[in-house]
Amino acid sequence: MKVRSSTYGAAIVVSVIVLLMWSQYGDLLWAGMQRGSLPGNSIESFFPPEDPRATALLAAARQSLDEISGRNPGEPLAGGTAAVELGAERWFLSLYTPGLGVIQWGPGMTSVDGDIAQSVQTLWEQLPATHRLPEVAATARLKLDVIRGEERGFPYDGGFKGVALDKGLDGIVLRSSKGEEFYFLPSWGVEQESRRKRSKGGRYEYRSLARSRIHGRARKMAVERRGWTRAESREAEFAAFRTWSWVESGPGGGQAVALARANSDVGAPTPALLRTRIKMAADYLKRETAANGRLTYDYKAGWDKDAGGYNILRHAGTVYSMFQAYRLQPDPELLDAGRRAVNFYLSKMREDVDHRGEWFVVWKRRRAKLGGVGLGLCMLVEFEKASPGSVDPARLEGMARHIERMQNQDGSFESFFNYDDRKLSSRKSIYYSGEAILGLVRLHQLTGDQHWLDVAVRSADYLVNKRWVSLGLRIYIPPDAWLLQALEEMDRVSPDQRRAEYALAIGEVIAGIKLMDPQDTPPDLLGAGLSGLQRLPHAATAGSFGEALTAAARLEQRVRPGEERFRRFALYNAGFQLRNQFTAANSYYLPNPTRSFGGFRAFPDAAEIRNDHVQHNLSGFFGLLDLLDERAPDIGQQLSPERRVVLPSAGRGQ
Amino acid sequence: MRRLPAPFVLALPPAALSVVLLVGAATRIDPAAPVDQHSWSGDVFATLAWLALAVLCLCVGLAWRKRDEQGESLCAVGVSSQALLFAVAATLALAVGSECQNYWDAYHFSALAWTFALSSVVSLSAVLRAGACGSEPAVMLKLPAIAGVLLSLLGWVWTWSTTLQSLASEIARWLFLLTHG
Repeated sequence: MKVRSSTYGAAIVVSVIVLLMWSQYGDLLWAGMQRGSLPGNSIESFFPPEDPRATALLAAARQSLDEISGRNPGEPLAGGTAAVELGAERWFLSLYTPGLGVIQWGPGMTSVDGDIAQSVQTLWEQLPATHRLPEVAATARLKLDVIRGEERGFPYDGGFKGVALDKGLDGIVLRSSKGEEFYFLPSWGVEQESRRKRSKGGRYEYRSLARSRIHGRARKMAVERRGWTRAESREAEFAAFRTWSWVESGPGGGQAVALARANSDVGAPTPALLRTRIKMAADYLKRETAANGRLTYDYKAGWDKDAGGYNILRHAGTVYSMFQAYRLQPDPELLDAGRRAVNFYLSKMREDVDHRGEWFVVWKRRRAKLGGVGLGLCMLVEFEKASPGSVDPARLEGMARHIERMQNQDGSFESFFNYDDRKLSSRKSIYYSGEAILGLVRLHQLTGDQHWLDVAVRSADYLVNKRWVSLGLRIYIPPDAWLLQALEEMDRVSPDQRRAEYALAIGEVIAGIKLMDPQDTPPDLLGAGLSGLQRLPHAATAGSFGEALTAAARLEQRVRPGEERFRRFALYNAGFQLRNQFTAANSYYLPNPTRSFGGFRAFPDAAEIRNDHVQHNLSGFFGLLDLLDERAPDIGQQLSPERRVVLPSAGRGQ
Repeated sequence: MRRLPAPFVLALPPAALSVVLLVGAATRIDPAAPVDQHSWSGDVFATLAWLALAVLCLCVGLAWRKRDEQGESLCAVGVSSQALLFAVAATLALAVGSECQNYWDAYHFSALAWTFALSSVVSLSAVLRAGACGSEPAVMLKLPAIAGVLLSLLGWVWTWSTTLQSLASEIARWLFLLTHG
């Protein structure tokens, strides 16, 4: 049979389309097919319902632990399990002991199949003898898991990219040929991380436990904990299971807090809750500010290690958020920490030798970033708003003049300042311009000087109308959270429809890459961004997107009265932010929960706390509070004429 | 010396430029590379794309005027225009994948996009004409050429249609929820 030429053509087209689609979505589609019909979202309740048995069991176990440890010697538990009716399900009790080193390889764990006192005794004896102290019991946390539903099979290592297993929701049971069992509890999939040295003698690279490695980690733990051989662990039968779990609410005891994916539920963001969480975040930053004003840049809470590194731009942003928190809840210690951090920043500034009185910032001879000065300006303006008379007006103006010098004729900004004849960079940062514009808008709020608003408007107009438009095409709208905030506050004093529409378009871009439908999203991921297959959504960007979405919601209130699209998005986003801030309830598995308290983790499955992540989340809450609570400070507060700061060259351009 | 056949001569220049563009995209897109590592700037790619488009138009024009019986010349240029479409699409994909947004201007992306769109139109014209002259391979290329034009249209609609952008977001969300519980 002769095949027509056009059939060949059709075959080529179809092949190319299939190839294109597969290159874009292939992994996900293949993973979706492999995954089959997991319980996923069809479960009746994501977080465990109240269960009196769990409450009673945890209370009994705590009493027993306190007795065994000598923390609170009293009557022994009468009747063992007779006091708590456990039913037919399989229960597990875990003991988390912060302060005794890194708990990366799982807590003490035993099944509760007979006597509670005996189970606690087993847990206690799993600790090294030198650690069996009342003080350890006083900081330890007990956690309870009960298996629910049937076990289910899954492909070895979870199949393609481990997709048959849900991180934090699926546990794994291994059964060796000797008839022994090893249970890898669901929460361990997010509690545990991995790290490896980048090079010999070099720094560690910390990562969350990849989904495809959960089964491997379970096998490894069976070898280490149960003394199985590698071959036994490889050849062991395996199945996945899910649990309901509860943890004691605080160190040394407390009520049972329901957990799902090793996290507790938070509830809807309310002004009271936001105030509390802002205070917690500010306290974290306060604690992490050294005497010389340097902040902890990157704290790996899962390992209780400072990873080192520094970024002066992020330092400025972080200190800016500390002053926002101070404006909300004045705390002299916070102000003092902020003042030290400002001085640290100022000590890294340099005067432009060719233009005296103009200042830029640079970290250890690295490139001088426009964004570093932009956020530095935000920081100093916020400092002045929080504590009038604290900032040198000449320095404020010197920074603004430096930003102005970085502006080109068309309104665009250069991203890097060429000092000491360093090599030029061709990089045009997407975000530095927005940071600089926000700094200038904030300076206008502080001084009322029209000149700086004009510089900001010129640059904003460039970004809105020209940066990504060429030959009749709008190529791209970057998810620029800083620019969106700047445009919202600019709109208050210099309204412009195109700028407002562009700002809301940025909001749409951001919302477009997020999970915003409560009907089909796992409750703990509502408001999160989309992520790859291996790891859970990035929690840190929820902070910067929170800043953006709350700014969009404020703008929406003014330019689209009656609409609440961005307000709704901002609330969902804030829910995800709240769930990823370390509190007493969800820091139970960390080696040093007290230190991480108030910090925001980078991912639900990676306990990395970076200072800028805390900043974005804190500022996002601050922006949301401005939206929800009329008594809250205005994030873009315009000072009244009598309170304005007068710059040395005030009135220029007017 | 034997003369090269006309179809080959006309198809070669755009095809050669397509290869240069493709190889350049595969090996020289590294915007963060130090100056001494010879990565190509957005200007180089944009100029190369315009040049390839101009040469393609010229070759199609010459082939159009050439009255070979079966439209072989037009068909040959049609094939090289498809190669150019592939090279430009790959360059765009690699540029986005390498985060050239932090280094290139909108003009550089636009130049590539317009090269793709105009090449697809030129390609379709050449292929239709060659097909009308009786070229069997041209008939085979008709659908790929139409697909190129449709892809250009889709790209253009993408730049302004929030509906299309929302659809892409929905697909991404659906795939995420399909693979996460």
